[in-house]
Amino acid sequence: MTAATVTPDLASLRPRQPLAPRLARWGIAVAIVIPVVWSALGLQISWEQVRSAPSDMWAIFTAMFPPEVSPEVVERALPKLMESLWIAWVGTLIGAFFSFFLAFAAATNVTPGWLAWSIRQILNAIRAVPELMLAMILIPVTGLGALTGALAIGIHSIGTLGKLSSEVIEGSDAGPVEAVASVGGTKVQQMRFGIVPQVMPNIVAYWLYRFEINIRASAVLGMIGAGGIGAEIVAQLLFRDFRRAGTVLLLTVVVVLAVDLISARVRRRIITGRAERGPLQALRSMNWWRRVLMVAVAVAAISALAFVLFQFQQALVA
Amino acid sequence: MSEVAVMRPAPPRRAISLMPALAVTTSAMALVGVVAGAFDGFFWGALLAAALVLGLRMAGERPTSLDGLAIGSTLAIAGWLTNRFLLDAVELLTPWVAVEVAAVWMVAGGLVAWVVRRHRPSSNPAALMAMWGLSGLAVVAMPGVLERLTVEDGKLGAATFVIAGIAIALVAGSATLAAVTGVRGIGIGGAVFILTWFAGARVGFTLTGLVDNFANIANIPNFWPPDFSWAIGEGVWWNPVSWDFGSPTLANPLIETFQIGIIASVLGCLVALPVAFMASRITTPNTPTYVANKGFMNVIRTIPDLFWAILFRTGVGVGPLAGVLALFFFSLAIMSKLFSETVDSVDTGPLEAAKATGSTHFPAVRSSVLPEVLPNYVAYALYIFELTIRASVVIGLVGAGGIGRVIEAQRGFFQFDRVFAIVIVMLVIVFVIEQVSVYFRRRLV
Repeated sequence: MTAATVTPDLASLRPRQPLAPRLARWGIAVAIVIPVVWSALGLQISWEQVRSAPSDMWAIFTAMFPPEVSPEVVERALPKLMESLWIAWVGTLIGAFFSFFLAFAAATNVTPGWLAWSIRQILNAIRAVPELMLAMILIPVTGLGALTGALAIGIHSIGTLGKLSSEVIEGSDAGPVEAVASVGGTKVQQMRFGIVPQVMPNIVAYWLYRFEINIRASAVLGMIGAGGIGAEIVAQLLFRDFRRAGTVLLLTVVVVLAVDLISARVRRRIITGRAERGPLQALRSMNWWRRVLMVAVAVAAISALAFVLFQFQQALVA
Repeated sequence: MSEVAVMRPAPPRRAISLMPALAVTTSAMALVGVVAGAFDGFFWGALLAAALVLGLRMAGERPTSLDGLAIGSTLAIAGWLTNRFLLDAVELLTPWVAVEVAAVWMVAGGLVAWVVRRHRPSSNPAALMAMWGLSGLAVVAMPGVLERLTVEDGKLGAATFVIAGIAIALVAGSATLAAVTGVRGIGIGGAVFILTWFAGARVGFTLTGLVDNFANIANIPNFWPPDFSWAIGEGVWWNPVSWDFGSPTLANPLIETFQIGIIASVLGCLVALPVAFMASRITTPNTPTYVANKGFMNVIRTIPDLFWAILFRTGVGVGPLAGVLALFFFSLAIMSKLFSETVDSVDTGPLEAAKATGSTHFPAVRSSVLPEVLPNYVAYALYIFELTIRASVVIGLVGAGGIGRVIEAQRGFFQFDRVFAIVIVMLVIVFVIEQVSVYFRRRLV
């Protein structure tokens, strides 16, 4: 047989997509592209600015490096950084405490529909105001300082935690509640013994998650004078003292990263209910060069921390 | 057969909720405290009791209502006495005061130890008493001494280290004791309580102070009513001629805010797509790429939005470009984190099937993983858009464009009625955007 095989035209064999999805795709593309073009034209950003932006930023970052870890910088930055942590902690506790009760009130399987709906709308409204706006409203009331920051973060957290917790409560199994009701438990007992044990791990995990977010928020709040590290970075950048600003930034990144890692671990532990491999166990399961690498990283991190603390102590002694 | 004798059923315990006991204790103490003008001591004592009782419950103990009442009132009284000593002695904190406070707390600790011992006879009451005595010392040491050692120009004294050391030793000690007595909750509850106490002292969070502060509301000038006529009044919103800066209407900075938000979120989500794929083990078998991306993602996620804004403001100058770049990194950070977790949890079956047909890695990922996660991607993108719009309101505070600069200016003039009006207008707009976005997200996922 002659090898007159016809190469099939694969493109024509493939079935054409129906019209509707194609139209929808084009519609979505247009709905994204037009606002973007409108925004790009409207912002009046000059091409020169955009072109030189990377080199400008590179100049800043090289100016920041190496960060100046001198006693006077650490002495100013470290207490403010700790203050940010305390603000976040107090704010999270305020949020956790109030949102816990509001969450039950906003859950449709606990509260009658209209009441749950209206409480949910209140939570939505609280959530819509950024912490910074809240702090700005609160500064005339409670003055400049850490308390304002803690309250602003607390109020915002009530909104977010209330929403997340109420969703967890709504997703809980109705069985235990019915069981408590069938043995004559009151409404409060149904909640206490039917719902709380089910939802508590998830809710506590959300509290921790919120704590992570609140640390970032409290770092920012210092910028408008509500306590914390933000004031320090504004001051250093205002005086264009880039190496000191670099120190502040670096310290913030390290602390936030550390809290993130620990909190993520605790959250996983709470949700899954079983212990994970500790660092030593993980080290044992590695091959030799990874072990060396990890130990080197750990030693470097610890000595960096020790150096910062030593500088802090030098500042105190001086 | 001796096994049988050992495995006696546990004595029946009354499973009464502790909530009423704690509620009664706390509210009674609050009432007495308000009358006596020493609310904070009661508050902290009751909080400690709550932490302890919850800790006991977490450890599987079943303290009864009476136990809750006993622990609550003892610790509240101990807290009150401490505060009394603390308030009176803050000028001259002699070792004797510390000893007295420690003694008060050791008595309280004795009662707690007795309660714990009722449920767990193997626990060591002396150790528990020692622990509570230590915590009494720490209570004096931490907030009081720290405040006292703050010398004139705001420097912390060298003894901060000693105090921090005491705090750390205390946490470690309570953890050790928890391990010894087998009541793990004590460690957790103690750590949480000490942290809270310390944080509250540093932040200056006192309940009486809070009440005083909120009495200030009446004294603020220009706060109420919000000046809506200024915020949305004059000028024609849709007229481009009136959009220049300095016009009486807010339309220009307001629209600039949204334009910044739109560009930043679209760019951020676009870049996040490859970044997220490269930060998931499923789609990136190459270890260096994976580690580098994961590290990059974690680091940019730690920098808050306003830090980005002020960095870019310093770098590229005041204006909307700084805002766009700042929010670009902000949205990139969150989007890549959320989306990479989705990619992590994807069903690997289709990917293996595609690989089995002989496909190389990238086409396989594109045709098997991408379609699976695309609905989530769109849903997250909408969520990021919401977040970015909300963040774009505030970046102007540090000069990165948008409505924030107007807010900052009016705040500088103490025109709080105008600030308040803008905040309310923004709140309404953000709320509407959020509801629309939530509607679409519900339909998508």
